[in-house]
Amino acid sequence: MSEHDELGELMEALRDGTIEDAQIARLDQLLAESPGAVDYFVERAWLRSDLDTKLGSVAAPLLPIARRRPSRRFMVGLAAAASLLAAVSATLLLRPSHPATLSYEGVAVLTRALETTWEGTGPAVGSVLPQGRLALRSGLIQVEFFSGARVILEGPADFELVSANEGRFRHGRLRAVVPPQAQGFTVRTDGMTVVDRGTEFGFRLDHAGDAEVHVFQGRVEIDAKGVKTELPVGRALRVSRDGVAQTVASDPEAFVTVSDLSLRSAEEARSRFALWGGASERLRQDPRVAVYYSFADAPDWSRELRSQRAERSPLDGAIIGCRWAEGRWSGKKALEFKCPGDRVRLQDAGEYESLTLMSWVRVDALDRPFSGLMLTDGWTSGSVHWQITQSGTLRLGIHGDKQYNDYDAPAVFAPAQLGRWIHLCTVYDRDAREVTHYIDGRPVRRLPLKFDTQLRLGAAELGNWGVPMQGNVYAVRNLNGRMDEFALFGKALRAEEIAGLYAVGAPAP
Amino acid sequence: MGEPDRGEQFVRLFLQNQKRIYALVLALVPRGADADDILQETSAVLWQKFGEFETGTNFAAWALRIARYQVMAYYTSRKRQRARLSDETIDAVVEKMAARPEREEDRSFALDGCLAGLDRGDRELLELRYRGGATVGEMARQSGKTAFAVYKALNRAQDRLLGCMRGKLSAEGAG
Repeated sequence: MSEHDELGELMEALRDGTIEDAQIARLDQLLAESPGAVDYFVERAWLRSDLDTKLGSVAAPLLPIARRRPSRRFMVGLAAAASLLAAVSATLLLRPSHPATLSYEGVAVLTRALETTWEGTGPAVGSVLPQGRLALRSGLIQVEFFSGARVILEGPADFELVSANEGRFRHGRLRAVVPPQAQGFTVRTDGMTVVDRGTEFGFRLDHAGDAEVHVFQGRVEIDAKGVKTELPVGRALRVSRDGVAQTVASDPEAFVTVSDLSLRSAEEARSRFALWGGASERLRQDPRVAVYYSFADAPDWSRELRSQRAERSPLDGAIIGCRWAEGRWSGKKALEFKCPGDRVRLQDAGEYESLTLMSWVRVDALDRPFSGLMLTDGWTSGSVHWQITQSGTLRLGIHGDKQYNDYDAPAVFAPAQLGRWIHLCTVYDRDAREVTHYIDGRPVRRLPLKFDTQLRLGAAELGNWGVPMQGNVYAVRNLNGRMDEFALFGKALRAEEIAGLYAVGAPAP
Repeated sequence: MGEPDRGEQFVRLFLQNQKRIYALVLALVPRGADADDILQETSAVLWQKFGEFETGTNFAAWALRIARYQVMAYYTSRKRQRARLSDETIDAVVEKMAARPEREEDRSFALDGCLAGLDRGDRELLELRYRGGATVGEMARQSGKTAFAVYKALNRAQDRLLGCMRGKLSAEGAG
């Protein structure tokens, strides 16, 4: 028997727990003395770990924050453990010092933004907002605190989110709507503390320190430099920078209301939708477009995505499982992918040297090892796999004749990016010999091509991975989220063009 | 806002290395409830001590060191069987295991291809062992072969897979 055979046999016996003391001593001796034995031992141990997770029902090391019971058997596969981990990482903040404590990473959600400009980069609508400053140069935003309090902020303004029920105000104009469950909502400034007692109020503060608090409903407690006042409905308190206070009648017109903002946002959305409509029409005519779906104009019962071609063609997407849902704007459609069977199938006969993939998507969760955007069936020479990994990486996988490579843009999908519309674009440029990933119109990662190959789509799917190859069972790769525009160009688009596509399709400027 | 990413960072590193940890523990401890407990305990300790882990240093080595302590603690607590691998041997294994620059997905793809290329007998054998969780004794009884023959067949099937995986993983290189 060769030493490797003997080693293998001892390993198998150890695994089964049938190994005897003398055999353990022999195993130890082989590993200590025989050249290459440790290498083989480690290699085979690794293979067994692969086989256990691929074929088996055996445990992988499980999420440490799960309840621990020493005798419990964990018959959970690696994939399940991985998805559990990722689900937790996507929604919860883990604190190493307190393994049992879970908390949200944010204190509020940005629910509306109208004509905003920010100091630096501002958050997108739909984002979860962590503690920190909101520095608004202009425009209007609506912030919904996790406590239930809603604040409309008019720029220019500087407001810091302190907790789920407290903010720090430096200057600007705000209206707070505080439902009973958020009573006690507090706004602090340098010299004042305003505590809400289940009401609606306005607060204006200028750079110099002159402040006005207006009560529209209920009452508000104000502590201005040690002087406490309880302000009733219909009254306003003016406090000058040097602490002189006077009460006057409140003026509801001076602060934008929730319904004003809602109406103005709807108008804004209509005009942006219309603007996009023109651009979408031009895109449809673009000769470089190989496949284009606008996800517009489809009746609710439709099970087909019409491509850019006027006549019907295999480029039209067959919708399987997915539901029609609201897209970037009210009235604009998107396709929702939720279940493992959900997908869109298409067939493209082209061969490409370069290509550009572009889509508007709203990813709601990354609950699979891979969430498919567009994948060709199988994984062979010429295959193109555009997907998001569970750790939030945007990935373009290219399969050549003898090799394949994953071109990754890491950390694209942080928890705060889930649930909002995002523009994804990946360019495979053979002439420049590079792959570039773009997020919201901006290049985030440039990678050199590893090898040359001719790309073929053939049968492909949006939002999933099609038809497992004979003899192999692949994990489900359905997207959990919505897609509201998709284009595949048979050429490499330039950075300015991609920035333009983003700008004209962005849900809000 | 540096801190909130710590949990995310842990999850990422843990996911990247959980098969490595699994491979080590299951090479040193029989499959079963004890191994499950060691794995579970290891992940709990990793999490508790993650505050001490220095970002940028080798997570795989750090994690395997902690897994090694858990295995040692198990060896000590175990009454029935006294014999165990020596510390030097275990250290050599840990070191090799930490040094392998494996990419989970490369392996997964390679394994798919290699499994598909196995002959039916080998494939069924591995199915029985890994999907069915059968011991060598059970497999021998079921097939009417000797335990020796089953060991031999298991060695052959896994060596074929290893050869195929080596070929695929080196052909694709680091890319």
